[in-house]
Amino acid sequence: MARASKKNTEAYLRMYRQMVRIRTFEDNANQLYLSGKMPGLTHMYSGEEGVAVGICEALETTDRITSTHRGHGHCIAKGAEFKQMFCELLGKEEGYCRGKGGSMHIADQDNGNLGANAIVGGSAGIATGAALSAKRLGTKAVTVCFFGDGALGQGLLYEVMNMAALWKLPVIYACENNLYGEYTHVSEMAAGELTARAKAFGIEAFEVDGQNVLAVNTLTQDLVARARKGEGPFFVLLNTYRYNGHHVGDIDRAYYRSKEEEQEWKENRDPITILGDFLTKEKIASGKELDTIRDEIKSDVETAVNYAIEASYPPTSEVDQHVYAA
Amino acid sequence: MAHDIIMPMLGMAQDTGIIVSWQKQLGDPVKASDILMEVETDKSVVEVEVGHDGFLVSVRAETGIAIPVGQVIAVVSDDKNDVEAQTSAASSDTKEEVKPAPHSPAEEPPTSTTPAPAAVPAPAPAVTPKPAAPSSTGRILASPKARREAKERGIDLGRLVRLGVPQPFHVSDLDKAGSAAAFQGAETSYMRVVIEKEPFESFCSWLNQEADETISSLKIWAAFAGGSLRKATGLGDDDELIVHASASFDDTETIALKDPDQTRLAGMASHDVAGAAAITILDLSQTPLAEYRPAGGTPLPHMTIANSDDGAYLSIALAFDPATLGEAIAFNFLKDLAERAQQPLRHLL
Amino acid sequence: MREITLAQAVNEAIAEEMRRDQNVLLLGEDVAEAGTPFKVLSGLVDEFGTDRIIDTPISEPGFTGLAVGAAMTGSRPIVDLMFGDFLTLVMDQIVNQAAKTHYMSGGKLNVPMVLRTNMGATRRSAAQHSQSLHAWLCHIPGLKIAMPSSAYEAKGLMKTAIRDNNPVVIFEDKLMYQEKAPVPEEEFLIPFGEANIKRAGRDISFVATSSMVQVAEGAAEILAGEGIEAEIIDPRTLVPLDEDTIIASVRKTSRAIVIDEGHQSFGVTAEIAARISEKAFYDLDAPVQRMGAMDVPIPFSPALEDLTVPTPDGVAERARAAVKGTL
Repeated sequence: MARASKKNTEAYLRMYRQMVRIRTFEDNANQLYLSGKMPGLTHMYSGEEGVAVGICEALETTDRITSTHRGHGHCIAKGAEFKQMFCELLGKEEGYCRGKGGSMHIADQDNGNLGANAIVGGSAGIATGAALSAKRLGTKAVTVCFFGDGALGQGLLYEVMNMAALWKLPVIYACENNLYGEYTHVSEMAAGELTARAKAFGIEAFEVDGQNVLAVNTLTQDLVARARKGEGPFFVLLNTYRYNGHHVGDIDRAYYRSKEEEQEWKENRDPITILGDFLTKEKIASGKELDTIRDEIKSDVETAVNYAIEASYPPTSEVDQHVYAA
Repeated sequence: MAHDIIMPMLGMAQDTGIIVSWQKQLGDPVKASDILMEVETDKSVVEVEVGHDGFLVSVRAETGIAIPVGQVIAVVSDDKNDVEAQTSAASSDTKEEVKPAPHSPAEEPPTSTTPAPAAVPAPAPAVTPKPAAPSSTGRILASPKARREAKERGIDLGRLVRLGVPQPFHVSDLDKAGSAAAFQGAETSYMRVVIEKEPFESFCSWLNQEADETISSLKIWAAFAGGSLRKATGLGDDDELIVHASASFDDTETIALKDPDQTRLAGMASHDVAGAAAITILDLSQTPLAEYRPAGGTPLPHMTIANSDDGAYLSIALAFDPATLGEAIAFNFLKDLAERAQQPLRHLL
Repeated sequence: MREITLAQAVNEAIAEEMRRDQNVLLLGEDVAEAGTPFKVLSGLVDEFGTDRIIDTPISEPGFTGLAVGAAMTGSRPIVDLMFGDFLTLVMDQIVNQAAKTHYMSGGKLNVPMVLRTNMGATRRSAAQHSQSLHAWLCHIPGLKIAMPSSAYEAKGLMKTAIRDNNPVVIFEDKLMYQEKAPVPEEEFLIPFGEANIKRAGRDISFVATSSMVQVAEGAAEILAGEGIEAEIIDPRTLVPLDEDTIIASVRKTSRAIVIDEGHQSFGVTAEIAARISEKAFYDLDAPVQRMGAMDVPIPFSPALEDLTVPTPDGVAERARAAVKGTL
């Protein structure tokens, strides 16, 4: 762990807040679903906060990300606000996509989030294309392509990694390995070495403990700086775990994941707890201060949820708007 | 082996042809290069060859009507015994002769008040002719545009059916229907025949004596008219023919009779007869009226019987739609009716 | 007016737009030095360099997806898909990503890209290189579909496509690249949603796409000799479709044949015929006809392939039946 300088302190506290924000958001979203208030399905990010926050804290607002169906964490980590996010999840007018995208297509263009994607690996092309634009426009922007271990089965990923490597595009392929693709363990879905795939294209590949947000962040800062200099692309394998099921309705999971395993990760490998312990140990924040942070965020989230529940739907006349851009 | 002979396409964009004359008769032996018929197109009259050796075993089309290109109009076969029964549309003598009624030296020739161009077709429909009612039973196939234009132009598609125009109808078929609906009255034709009153009146008296009941002259006229109409239009004996008859302008006194020409005059009751009339009779002979011409809206054909000028004669006038009934049929009808009325006993036999 | 080939027209359009807007770039297989196997893009890399004319690996989904992302972030890419048959490979990127991004983002993200590909059989390229699959994409809301029928349309439509802020797919008939047509030297654009009445007539309307316009013209010539005057409508874009011009024509002639090189069943002809039946029903004197490619995979043998697509004689025969009333 790096020495706790003041600048770092702020950064660490920010990261703590961001992770707690994600966790609290997800808990509430889960409740909205279970209480029948949220239409459709959503996919919880709880347990993986270290990945999204560690990476996004190393990015500027002008850098881009593409996200997955499990995209709330990326969205918040990249700067999204609770109110518009809950509105989007409930299909309300004030949502980031005016209620027309929903959880699986949530996008926040102003913060550089090019969107969650319901197609597994579907955004790999988009991320690589964004990097192409950045390179030719000379913006120095870096794009991070988030995808899961499941997407390692999609051909598109390899096509774009090949091109990114050929053209040295400023893109970081961040594989969030939460060990399960839907209901199947990664060992049954991905043959060989996971990082070897990127290496086959001559892409530098790194592996990091996704639950250690500071480690993730340090690595990412280094790779982003190098990518801006034109040394990309890069591949990062982040080992992490999702506490909830594949989607909010996946409650009886014992047949593919043991309760013991879930407990083990929650108790001993929780990214928020790990950072919290570090902060208190390094005397960057007291336990009480961390509690306060959590309480504040809890209150913020509840306000946002209530707001979203009361907010209005888009007018019906919008159903056939935005099919085409002017 | 039999060969269908079709109405050929004789010109560019020609849809129909009119047979002016048959040059061969049913049963004749024919050679391929013989002239079978003369056909009139919009441009000229063309001689058409038989096209096959053999015998003319079927003639299926009338002269004088527009026949669609491609329709089978005759059959030539190797086997002369292949002769088919003729449909009501075919006729072997195409030249109708007018024979004067035998007992009326002062008879006026039948008059016609419409100009009758020689080329106007005398429709002898291949299907059972129906009275000029606005609609026919059964579905008619027509293109949407044809239907719309027919409605706009007041053309009854049923008329096209009666003319034997093949379905589905298209816009170009509407012109075959001729002028606007009969109900307009503007294009009504008239024909009149004059007969001696005495033979008919004697017959009526005799009949009433013979029978045990009163048989109105209305019923007798209906029977005569029904028979003449059935014969003139070629209706079959099994086809229903309804006659309406009245001696006044009061509708409540109209009687409706079904197949009066086939029913015994004695005991003929006018029970509830539904359906459109094939002909409507108005007998004004017991009134001082000499003439009545029905207005537009009156169902046609309409026959009026009235006293002729000097009282010894009866005038029988027929108002009809030439597009539906045709002058030839109207003429034959009146001719036959006049004969019956002059020799009534023949009718009974 | 000068005459240039369809290939030259496409080349000019792209070059002009690339000069006009630095954000326009083109990617695809063998587009740079080779100028594509059809040689349509020859010379572009010399003027614009390999940064803007980019040779890709054989990764159709990959480079199409790349184009979607590039379009979302400030570029205006043209994707060259070598054969229209390869649409099958890029469907997710075109249908699920490009077509829907603007809508799913509530109007906040645009995808100003052009997918340039081809269609058309009778080149003896067999079943997997001869398909005309444009109907599939017409079915997807969010895409625009252009079908140039000559060099003139190819240039005007391509320029409009590149300037359009939506994903546009242009289908060129691969057999027409060397066919010449008068094309003005001065700049011109053909707006989307405007059909062209190529020939006026009073007896029957032919609505024809792409090279079927030439087939319709051949049929019209045959029929003119028989006193039947055919009107020919070239929609030029299927999405958006200029319904008004088509309906007005059919109202005038009362008969219609829709001719397209997609398969006969469940295709473009069915859509246009249905709209004609809906909106010109009371003016129809004959059932609306559809003429597409036979419902068979395109055969290789020259003896068989040419039987599978509409021909001037075939169209003329159908038109005669419509006019005669025997349909």
